Amino acid sequence: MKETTFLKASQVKRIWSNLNWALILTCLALVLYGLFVLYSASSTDTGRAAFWWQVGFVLFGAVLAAFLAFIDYHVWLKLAYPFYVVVLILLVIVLITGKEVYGAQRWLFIGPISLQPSELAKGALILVLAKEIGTRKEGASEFYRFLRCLILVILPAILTFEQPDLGTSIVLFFIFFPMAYFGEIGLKFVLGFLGILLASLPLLWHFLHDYQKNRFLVLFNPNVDPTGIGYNLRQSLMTIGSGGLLGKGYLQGTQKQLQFLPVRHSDFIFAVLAEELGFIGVTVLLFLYGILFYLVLRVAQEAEDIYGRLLAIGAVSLWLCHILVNIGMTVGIMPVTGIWLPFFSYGGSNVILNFFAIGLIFSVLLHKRKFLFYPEK
Amino acid sequence: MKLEKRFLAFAILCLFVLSLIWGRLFYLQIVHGEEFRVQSEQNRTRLVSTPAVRGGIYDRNGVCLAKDEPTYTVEIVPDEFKKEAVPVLSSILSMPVEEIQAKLEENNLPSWEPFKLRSGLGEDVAQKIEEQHLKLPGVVLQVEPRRSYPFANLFSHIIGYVGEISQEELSALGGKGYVGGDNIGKTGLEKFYEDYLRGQKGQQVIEVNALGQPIKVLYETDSQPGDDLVLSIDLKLQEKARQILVDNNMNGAVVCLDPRNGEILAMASTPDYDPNLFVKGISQKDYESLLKSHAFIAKATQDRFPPGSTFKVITTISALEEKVIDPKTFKVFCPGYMVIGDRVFYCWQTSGHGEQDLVEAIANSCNVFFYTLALQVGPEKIAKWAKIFNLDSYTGVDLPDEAKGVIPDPEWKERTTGEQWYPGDTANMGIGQGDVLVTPLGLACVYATIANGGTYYVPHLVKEIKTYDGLPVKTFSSTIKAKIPLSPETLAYLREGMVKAAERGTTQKIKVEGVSVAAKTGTAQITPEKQDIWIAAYAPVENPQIVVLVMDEYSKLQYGSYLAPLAHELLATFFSEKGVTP
Repeated sequence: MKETTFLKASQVKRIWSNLNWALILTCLALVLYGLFVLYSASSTDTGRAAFWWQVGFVLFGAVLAAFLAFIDYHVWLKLAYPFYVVVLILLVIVLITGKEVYGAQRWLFIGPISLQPSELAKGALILVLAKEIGTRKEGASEFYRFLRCLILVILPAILTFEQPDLGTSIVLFFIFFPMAYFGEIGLKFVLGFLGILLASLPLLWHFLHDYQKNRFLVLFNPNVDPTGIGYNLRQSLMTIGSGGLLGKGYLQGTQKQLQFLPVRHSDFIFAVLAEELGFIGVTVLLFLYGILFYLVLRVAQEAEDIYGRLLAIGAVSLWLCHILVNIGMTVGIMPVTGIWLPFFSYGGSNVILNFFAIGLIFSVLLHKRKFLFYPEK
Repeated sequence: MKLEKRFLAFAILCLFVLSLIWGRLFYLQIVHGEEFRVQSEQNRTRLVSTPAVRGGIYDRNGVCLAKDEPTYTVEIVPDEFKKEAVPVLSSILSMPVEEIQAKLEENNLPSWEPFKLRSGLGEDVAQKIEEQHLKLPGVVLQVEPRRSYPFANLFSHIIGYVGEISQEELSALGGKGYVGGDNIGKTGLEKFYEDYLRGQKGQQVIEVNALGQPIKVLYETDSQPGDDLVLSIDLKLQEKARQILVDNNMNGAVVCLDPRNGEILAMASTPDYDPNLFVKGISQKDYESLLKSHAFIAKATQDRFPPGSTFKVITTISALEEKVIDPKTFKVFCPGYMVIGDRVFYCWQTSGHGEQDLVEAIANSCNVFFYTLALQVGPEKIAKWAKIFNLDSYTGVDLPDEAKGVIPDPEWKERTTGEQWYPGDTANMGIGQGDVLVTPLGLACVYATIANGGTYYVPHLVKEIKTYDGLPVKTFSSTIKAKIPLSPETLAYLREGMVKAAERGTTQKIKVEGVSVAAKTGTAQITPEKQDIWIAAYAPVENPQIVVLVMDEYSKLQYGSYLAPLAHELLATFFSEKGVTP
């Protein structure tokens, strides 16, 4: 039933008819809004270099997304396991060799290219979970299926936790739970596992570094680590709060210019947005995210099969988690972790992952055969 | 429908997350927006770091060789300053009145911001200002640690110096928390042990008003002083080592090693420089003149020279260990020269040594004997043993930018010059000339290995690292690089030859009363008048406690044996300290 993936005239027609202009426009709006804010955030420290790099990453990402979209996602699913294994190997390499690169253990250098395998891991996990959950095995119990998925999540989660990149480990689980829920792996296992995780928090606490503990403690007591993380949080809250309803105006942020804000153009870019464009600006952003989620959930609903549905759900989960953790940290309701904001934070690896997700969503959208209004010959 | 329920649940979750964030933002920006706005405009804070005191460096007996000292900067707040104070200030700082006035005029805006009048002042000046502070309104003293090297040139090539971090270092050391203006070890131990010495900066959150003036310190974390280094260096011996080089106007190197563990007891190279110059800020002219005289190159570890006859121990070992000759019967007649191919190779004693056996040949350093021996052993085997003694490689000493020697063989010559290897090359190699190059430290390690019977210890300078309050951080016990299997017979021949060498001609001046000495000299001709000369010695012969090596580059002295009185001084100093009176 699944024949060739070459583009026949009928397929082009189908792709064209399936195109969802609203989704394209929403993505475009988010990307442009992100660049707009990054332009301001990069003005003081990196002399706009970060901005132009980001433009390059976005262009590359757009090409990647188009490529992914034009090929049937079932082809990508066939590559899920090999891709997943390669990413695991990269994560191990980064753990071994990364230690020698000035303490920055998240990066892997291949010639002039540096990439963060932890970002690849998120993409690989979405693919491999869609494949694993979507493929029903006769007679396999629900618990057995849940366990298999859990192993697929835990391997990269442990490797990233060791880097140490707590944020990515959390994101990996956050991708897993909704996908399992939609894959008809009973809610009881998901909730049960969550319960065990919460119950073992006191135990996990011992595995955290002091600075990681401080990031949790500071949420309850702003005087924890007042020259370190506490300082960052205080500055972030002041920056966001001082934006008020209308903001201080584009390129006019004072906190930003005085360099009170740490990592302005990546992790704390939301604070720049909130300061300069105010409550109106952040509401627009949250609204755009809302539309994006709605449209992608529609894609999931109308997907041809469970694989497509799971891919779309995985992408939404990824973004939702990043939004919650990133904005949550800048507004002081989540611990500080180095987690990017979709379409806004500076960085090659994260831009490429976002476009990877968009590409998969469009592949699901464009290659569905539900509406056979155009008979194939 | 079951599936629809799931979508609904997930959509609600998304909506919940977005609403939660939205609500929090409403709280921050709308409910408390005005408060935050006021705070951000009137009540800003700044993060300032306070420097850490860098770890000290001490000799083996606890004498301080490098440390951070408080240094004072005089600043003036123009708003509060009174003109009447200028003469008082001028006399304390011994700075002309006009210069102070000129500075005041340069810096008249903005008036509450202090400007630096003069920095790098000592305790004495600071005290005078404190005493007279009533007459000096608006004069502020700032204190910061500054590196000081009390022995100046004595340790330039061992300790090195610190300086302001460069742009390249900043980007290379990105993750380590350096910022522009920080000091960092540039050479020597200061560079090698930077991570231990630097300590940890403290942080202050300072509240500033709308004009940026500091109001008060809100929070503060203390800086952590760096760790101290305890060296194996013996100050007295080090002073002697440098003294003999300087007094005799030599451009050379001295190495004193403990053959029992690889500890470096003294190591000096000339020309050298005063590392304090870099702390105070060296002038371009001084820097260029030092650069021109190669003062920054530590001859002992960073340069290499032809070893001359000191290399004959390697030729001897290769002949005996490869069983090429029978030392009991092998004899060579030295007429003062030898014809190899179509060239004549001379002995240093052109009248000839007559018949020589191995021990005599080592004692007399007879070239004809060693030409013959080298030709019989062959270049490959000599090179093999030189490499076993690590002469083509780094010693692994705890100093940055070490050089390594060159050990040629036919394959090497073909590769580097494209030329064929001739028997003459073998003869030259046998007496440590031609293309053979070694570092003085590398050669000293060879003699230490022979002295202790075959154990090659990695030479090292640091014995111990301690925290500023004396808790141990790391102890460096001796590290064995290789155990070289040398037969007792080989060792006995070398010892006998070198003991005799120490009793002959000029070399006998090395003699120390009450101590038996083994020595080998070397002379490598560079130009007809100039040569690189060497002496390597160890003592006491029965139970070696010290290896001494002296080298003079482009020496006006004719033979290595002329260095014997200098080696004697080093040995005498060492043993008198130990209680053996010379």
